[in-house]
Amino acid sequence: MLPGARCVQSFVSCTRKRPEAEEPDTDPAINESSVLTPDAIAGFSVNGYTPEELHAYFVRGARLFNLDIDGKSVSRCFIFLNYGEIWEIAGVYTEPDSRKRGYAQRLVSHAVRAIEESGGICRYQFKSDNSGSRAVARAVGLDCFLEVDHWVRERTHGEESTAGYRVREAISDEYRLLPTIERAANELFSTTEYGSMVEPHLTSDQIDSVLDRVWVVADSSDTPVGFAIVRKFDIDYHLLEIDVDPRHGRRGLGRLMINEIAGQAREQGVRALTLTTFRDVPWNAPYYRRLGFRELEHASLSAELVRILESEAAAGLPMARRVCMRMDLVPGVVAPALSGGRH
Amino acid sequence: MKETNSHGRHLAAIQRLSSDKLANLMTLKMLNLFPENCETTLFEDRSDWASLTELDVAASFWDRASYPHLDKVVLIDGNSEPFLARAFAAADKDDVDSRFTHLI
Repeated sequence: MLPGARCVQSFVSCTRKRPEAEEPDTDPAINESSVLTPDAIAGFSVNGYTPEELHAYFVRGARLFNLDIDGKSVSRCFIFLNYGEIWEIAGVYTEPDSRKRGYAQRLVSHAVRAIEESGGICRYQFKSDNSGSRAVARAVGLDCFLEVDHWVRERTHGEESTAGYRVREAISDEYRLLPTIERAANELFSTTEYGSMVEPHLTSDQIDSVLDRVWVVADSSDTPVGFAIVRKFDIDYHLLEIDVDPRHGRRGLGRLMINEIAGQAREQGVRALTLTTFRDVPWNAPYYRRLGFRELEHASLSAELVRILESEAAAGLPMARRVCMRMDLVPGVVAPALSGGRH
Repeated sequence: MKETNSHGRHLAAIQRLSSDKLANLMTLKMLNLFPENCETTLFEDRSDWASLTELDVAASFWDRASYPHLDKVVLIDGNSEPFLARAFAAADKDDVDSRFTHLI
């Protein structure tokens, strides 16, 4: 296991290796639907499912099962195509006043049979400390085949490592320090196939005192050890360059600068922060993605961004590997809520 | 022994993981849903293998909601104890939630 890590939760997965020798008759109290109703959305929210997650499942053929007793829905679940031919039994829920009566067992049994009859493989996953679900799985003949443990290793650098550093706007006298930092940061590319392509003309040598704003991250002696150059485009900010002296790297200083710039920009009504970068260098696009940037389709690029890409092409950069990214700063705009992590 | 850095080249890992889709479902799914947000390293020798898949937490809604303070989720799968140990060693970073799957 990872040193210093702790197990925070565990899940058990079950399936049925072979159908029961004698299947019970179809349960007449269970009705099935492929329509996601508002009631169902509200009901499954109890299990933590969001409407968009549910819609994504039902668009791909999910089916809803309800167990009705005396005209009242007392227990429900749904099945969805998870991966390949594997169908997931999910959202099993029984009303509190209807528990301990075997309703969940009837429902899951019905769901398992529905999956098997359609040629699929069933999977039923629950938290390892959920004794009720474990009992249901056992009762309907499901075998536990897998345990998944989630181990978390807490941050040991992060905020603590940025102690003593601060981000502030650069004073013009400090501009002369920036090329040294940029050259040192560019050295990191020597381990990539882009080593020979990094621009011979340093961005920090070409600061436009009218169009550009420059931030630095300074150490405890107030000496810049990293910088960011931002150009105002219409109503967006474009990050022309951001570098940290490698001797001060891996402390979260890049994130510190971007957070500060994004915060100030947001207060000033700037709509977004954009940048261009290499798609496949770990500290480029993957890193910015973690900070909240998303990749832009070429068709959605502004005229300024198109011009930047054209200038990069003219400089000989491999454009198939370049990507344009954007961080939305407008309140309420968040990264897309893609499903797929729960199961 | 062959060691494959699978950045942008997930096919070899998917082939290994597909040998048991039920057991390796989560990683297979992430590689299919978020290929741009995954980096996979495969350790293999003949029939023995282990894979280490790093997923950006920002890509997955469930992971963002469950582990908002983390940057990475690391998924480790395989059938070989020595290779699994190597995968764990490679995952020895900060800010990770490591998911280790083991057969019952």
